Amino acid sequence: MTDKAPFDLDAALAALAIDERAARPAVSESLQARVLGDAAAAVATAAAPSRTPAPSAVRSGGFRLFGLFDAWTGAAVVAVALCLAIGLGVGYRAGPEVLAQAGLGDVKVAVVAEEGDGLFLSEGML
Amino acid sequence: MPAMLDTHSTDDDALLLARFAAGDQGAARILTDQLLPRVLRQAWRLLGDEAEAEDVAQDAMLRLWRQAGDWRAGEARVSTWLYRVTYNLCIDRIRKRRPTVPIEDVAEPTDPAPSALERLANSAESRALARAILALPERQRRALVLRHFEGMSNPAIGERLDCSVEAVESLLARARRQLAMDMSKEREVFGND
Repeated sequence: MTDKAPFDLDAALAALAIDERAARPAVSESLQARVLGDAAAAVATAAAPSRTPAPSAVRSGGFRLFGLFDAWTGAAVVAVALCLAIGLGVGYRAGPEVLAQAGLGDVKVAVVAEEGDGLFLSEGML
Repeated sequence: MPAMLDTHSTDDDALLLARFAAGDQGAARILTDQLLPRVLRQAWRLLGDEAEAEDVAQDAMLRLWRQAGDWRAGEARVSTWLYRVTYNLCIDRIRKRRPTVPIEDVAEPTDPAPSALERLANSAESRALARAILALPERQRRALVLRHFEGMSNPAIGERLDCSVEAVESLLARARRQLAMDMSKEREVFGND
């Protein structure tokens, strides 16, 4: 009967590590070339001027209205304000008979009596 | 024990990465020389296939190059970041590969690292030890592989695994205790043959 030597974990791990190191893949020249090629491409991409313009707080072609709106919002606000102003002006000049001819005069008479022509006509337009 | 492989300062990696981001291709070469072999070995251990490991290593390095411009020094070490990226890329590959592999051939669902180890072992005892390493809980196994196969210091392993040196020591102690127990049982079986 033979006595077995006690198990030496460090020695066993070292032997396995030796096996592992012997089998380890080395970095091939082609892999190194690919990696360095990727690096060069990444630097070139980062250095190239961007095709997309830098984002702007004001949309393209725009201006700021009182520093509050960008171009399209500002244009929309101006358009609505103009429509209201034109409507009020035209209505004021046309007088109540225009609306009366359209069959709306009777409906608005009470408003005329209470609040005046301008407001009456503008309501008629609206 | 293998030579210490993590001897260069990891702060140097961050500096080199900053130089690379500024357009210095020489820095890319130095980083490649220092990091690529480790990335390749890690991928190879996990995947057990050299060609796949090369693909993963290239992919991981490409992600590093792309990250260079946005790298925030001091938040993470380059080597730790790269280790995690490589690990995740390998796990993705293993998951994709699994449906085409018969279920009985899948040795370890989460991290098959030592399966490659087992294949290369030259003796019955080494193969038994590799199997015992395979059976260890994941963090114990990773700590043990980094310590005994990468030759890393405990503080460096702690950085890789995102834990304290004391935790690394505990992981290694438990791993060694379990391996000693498993190998004793293995030897009893051999002894009865």
